[in-house]
This record gives sequence, structure tokens and C-alpha cells, in this order.
Amino acid sequence: MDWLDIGFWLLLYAGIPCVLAMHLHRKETKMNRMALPATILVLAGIAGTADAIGTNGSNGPFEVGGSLLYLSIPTVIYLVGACLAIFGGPTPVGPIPKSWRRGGGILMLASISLIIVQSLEPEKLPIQPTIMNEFAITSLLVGISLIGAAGTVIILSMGEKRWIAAITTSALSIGSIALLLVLTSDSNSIDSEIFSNAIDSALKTAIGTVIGVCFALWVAFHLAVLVERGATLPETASPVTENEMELVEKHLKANIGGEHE
Amino acid sequence: MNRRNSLGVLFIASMTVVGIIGWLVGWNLSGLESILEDVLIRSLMAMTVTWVILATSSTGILHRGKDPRTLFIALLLLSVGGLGLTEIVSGGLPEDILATLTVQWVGLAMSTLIVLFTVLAIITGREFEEDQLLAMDES
Repeated sequence: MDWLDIGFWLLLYAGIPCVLAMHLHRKETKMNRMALPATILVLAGIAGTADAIGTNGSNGPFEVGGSLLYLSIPTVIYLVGACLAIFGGPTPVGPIPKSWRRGGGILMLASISLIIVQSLEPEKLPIQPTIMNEFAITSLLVGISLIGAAGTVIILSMGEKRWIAAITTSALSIGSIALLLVLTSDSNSIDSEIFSNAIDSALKTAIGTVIGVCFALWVAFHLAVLVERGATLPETASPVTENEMELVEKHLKANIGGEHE
Repeated sequence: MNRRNSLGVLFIASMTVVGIIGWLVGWNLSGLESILEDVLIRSLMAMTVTWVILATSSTGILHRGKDPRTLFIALLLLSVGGLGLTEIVSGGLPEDILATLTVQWVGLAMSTLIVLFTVLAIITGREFEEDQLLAMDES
């Protein structure tokens, strides 16, 4: 990994959260005023380093961007369809046509079909598959199969007999596993060796990420508790004096205690 | 189902799916060491990135005193340590590991969104639901 690569990934993973935090700052401080120039610098740095790295055949920024775009097309269509299906019908601001729900359902089904075609026969699509296509599509399928199974268990454990939701999530999970099975089986149009490696990598990433993120958050939480433990607390209000206590008791007796004039 | 049972079933369901996909790609007990090593490398990378994101996203509170600055430095040191551990375990960072992991993390995030929105669409978008106010008006 050379310096340009380090610069690009550092700007992406450290620069973007940093400028977002600057923008979210509520008070007018120096930090807040620096947010816009810092954002421009970070974005220019990302673009500049990505351009300098270029497309040299290996997996670089442009290849990542291309596969993310490739992956985001069916996902965005699916989410738009889901939003139409969720919000169609009566809403707090008035009724939205119920046919939008049906339209949303059709969009969701169209997106699922697109994912299937992207997985099995990507070369037949007008959008050509990217160099990292197999990593993108296999991670999506592995994720759906794992989270679909977990979602089914969560829905069933809620105990409200939401059978349709449970059946749908389990169908998503089983469907994804079936697609993975087709991708790993020997077929003429699919290179099963490449896809087997990509699925293997995606599964290891899924397990590793869950363990890593949970452990990192646990450590960060305890670190924050450790650091903040010694912090001096701001001065609170002074304790109540005897006179104030007597005054309060007097008022209570007069108003609640039942003393009649 | 109580909470402990739910967690148990959740774990069993996840492990079953992992087992099925692992079987598809030919995981076996003899290769367990290399599988665990790869999982460890990805886990360390996830930790490193999580600590970097947590550290850099706390820049907005750095002016509040010594404690946020201590936490910021500690998180940055942890992330550098995580990267060092990855380097030691993997014997040198692979050339395109960050590119591959970025695509896979986005893929996993998108799959989470797909499942979540499917559940929401089914639970909230039922046909027999009707507007109570409109129903009152009609009657």
C-alpha cells in the first residue's frame, strides 16, 4: 500500500466522519466555522488521491465506486418501493392513494429480479458488471441470508403472530441461499471458482465485522466510562436550608394538610 | 419466548445459515485455522475502522476540556494498535483489503436495509387498515 492509497482511505474513513462532526456542532465556534473549508479540502483530497491512483487494474477507489454504484441501483429501487408500500394509504397528513402500495410492491419485486439477473447473468444487463461485481453481489446475498434468518427469529420471538412477515424474511433468506448455491454450482455461464472465493470472503467478513464492531464498541464504551470517571462535576445547587424547609412545610400544611380557616 | 431463549435461537439460526453457506464454499474442519485467521484479520480491521470513526467523529467536542481530548487520543491509539495487530496477524496488509472490505461492508449494510424495509412494508402496509376519521365520516 503506497502513500496515495493511505491518503485516500484515511480521508474516507477519518476525514468524512470528522467533517460531519464539525457540521453537526450546535454552537458557533471556530470548529464550526472551519467545517465548510474542511469539507471542501477532504472531498478535494479524496477526488485528487483517487485520480492519482487511477485504474491500474487492481482494486482501487474507482473500482470500489463502480461496484457501489452497481450495488446501489437495485437497493435504492427496493427501498423506494418499500417506502411506497409503507406509506401508501391513510397517513397523519391525509390519505395517499392505496394503489401506491401495489406500485411499491411491484418495484420491490422488480428490484429482486434485478438482483437475480445481476447475480446470475450480469453480462446481459445494459449496465456492465464492474471488476468487483462478485464481491458486491455475494456480500449482499450473504447479508440477506444471515439477516433474514435473524429477522425471522426476532419476529417470531415477539409473539404477535406476524406470520406473513416471518414467512417473507425466511423466504428472503432461503432465496439468497438458493442463489448462492447456483453461483457455487458448476455452470457454463458462471465461473463458480471466483464466486466461491467471493462468498467465502463475504462470509468471513460478515462474521469478523459483527465480532469486531461489537468488541470495538464495548472497549470504546468502557474507555469513555474510565476517562469520564475522574471528571469534575459542575457545581450543583446549594442544599436546602432550615428556613426554606420550614417555609415549605408551612405551605404544605396550609394547602394540603387540611387546615380550614 | 423469553429473552434468553430468543438469544439462543437467534444464535442457532445464525450458526445454521453460516454452516450452510460454509458448506457451499467447502469449509471443513481441517481448514479451520486459516478460516479463523481470516475472520480475525477482518475483525481487527472492523475494530480499527470503528475506533477511527469514533475518534474522528468526536472532533466537535474536543474544545470541552481534557477528558474528550484524552478519549480522542486513546481511540486513535487503539486504532493504530488495531492496524498494527492486523499487520502482525496477516504478515503485511494485503494490497486491496480495504477496497474489498469497503464493498463488502456496504453490501452487508444494504442487505440489512432490504430486510428491515421488507419487514416494515409488511407490518405497516396491510390492506385492511383504514383511516378511523374517514370511517367515522362515512357512518
